[in-house]
Amino acid sequence: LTPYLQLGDACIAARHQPSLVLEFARNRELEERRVFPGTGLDDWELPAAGAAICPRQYLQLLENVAGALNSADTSFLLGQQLLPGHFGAISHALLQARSLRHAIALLLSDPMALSPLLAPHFAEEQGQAVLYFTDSFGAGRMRGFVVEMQMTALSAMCRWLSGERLPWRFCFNRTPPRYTEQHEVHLGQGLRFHCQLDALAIDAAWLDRPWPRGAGTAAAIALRQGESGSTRASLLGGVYAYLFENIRRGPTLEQAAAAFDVSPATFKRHLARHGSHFQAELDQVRAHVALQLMHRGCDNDAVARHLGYHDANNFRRSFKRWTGMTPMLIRAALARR
Amino acid sequence: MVTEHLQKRERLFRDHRSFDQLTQVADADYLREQLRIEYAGGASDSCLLMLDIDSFHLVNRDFGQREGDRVLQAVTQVLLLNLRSTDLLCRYAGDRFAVLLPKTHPETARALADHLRRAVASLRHHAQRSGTPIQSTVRYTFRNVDAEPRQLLKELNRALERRMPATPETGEAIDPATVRA
Repeated sequence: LTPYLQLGDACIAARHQPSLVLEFARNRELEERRVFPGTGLDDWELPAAGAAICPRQYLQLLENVAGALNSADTSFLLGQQLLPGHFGAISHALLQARSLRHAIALLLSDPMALSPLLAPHFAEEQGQAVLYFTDSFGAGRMRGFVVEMQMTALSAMCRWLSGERLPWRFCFNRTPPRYTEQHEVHLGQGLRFHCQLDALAIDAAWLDRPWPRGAGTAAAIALRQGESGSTRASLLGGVYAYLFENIRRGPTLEQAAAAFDVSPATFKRHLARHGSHFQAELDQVRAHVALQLMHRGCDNDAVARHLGYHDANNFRRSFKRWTGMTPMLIRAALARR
Repeated sequence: MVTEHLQKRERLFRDHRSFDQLTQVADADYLREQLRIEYAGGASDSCLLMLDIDSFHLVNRDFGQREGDRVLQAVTQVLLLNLRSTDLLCRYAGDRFAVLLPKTHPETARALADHLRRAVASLRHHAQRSGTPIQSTVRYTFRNVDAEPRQLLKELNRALERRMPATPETGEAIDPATVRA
């Protein structure tokens, strides 16, 4: 498992997102004793160039700041400041992104700098572009906050660089909050809750519209790997990719552990440390694959077969367990789009 | 003067948990509560006006959020100073404000909204650090309080958000659905 990053690995450059969060907290005159505990950081100055904190500490920093401010708009205000950031070459490249497609490619090229807690995934089909996120380290109770923050970061950056508010649809894998005024004003009216994915979706026609600041070649040069931060994937990200790849074979815990070169017991322990377990990871991937196929217009029988079910009824029951909704309801939701 | 100011902030009841910390005016919770009272009373002759600062996100980008906060506070003051003592100003969220105008004919609401737009346009805020003047414009939309609060707010928010820019003369956000070819 050593090639994969875990919750306790110092893999987030302190000068990247964490220093922007510190700046935010300092501007709001929060007290040190509210902000620093458990974060591995202890002063307001710009962290040293090589300093890094682990995801657990970054999550604690966010929780400290959110708790100290106790305000419904914190995740959105923080998000507004995060991208393109001041993270060296990758931020520079984003500033000069030629188009939405280009910006998304940059995001996918360096998630540890641009979206350290949520792994971005991109899918384009049926004229729709979908950027969705899976948990990189197990955000636990901070998940909702982190999703709002990261979605705001992306949509605010795109609005700034493209010169217009893009007509995103924001899908949240959660129940709706009691009131949504912060989402409405900071993100827009295209809000959906009870979705199976945390995702930003947009008509694919927006992907290739040229952006006014775009400066093709310089940005292309900066898109080399390893320009900033770590290019290693998180363990949960690696598991997601493995399961996605092998979903048709109905992967088991034992097979997955073997693929990661550890014993099933060790594999379990590492997943547990991220607040997860094998079945949850598998169900998530199955649900995502099923959604993708339904989106393409496959019927239940075809989806069931693809996922290795012999019987569509069995599939329907499982699908309900993964998602809390029947395939029919999901189809209705997709059609409403 | 001070009492009048307070009236515009608080209107009928005083629940201090429902105040926006930054601008010290009512928040969205308080607004919804007032709209419920208004709507429950039946046959409302009140209007709800919503305003949004144009390209406010650029102030945050160019000058930082602290300066953005000061702009919001300044705009709040301008709005308060130009409202009637019976009107209720709320910060809905972010850079979006709502004004409940009790017993107000739509024509009067339009005139008032336009006056507010001009008042905000004449404000010249100076950035604290650089002294750079920052000018703001708002666009707006309004309607009778003739729907259930959630629906009413949804429609007004939608109308504000449609990407047609405000007409330069009036600042009224144009809903493309209502524009005839």
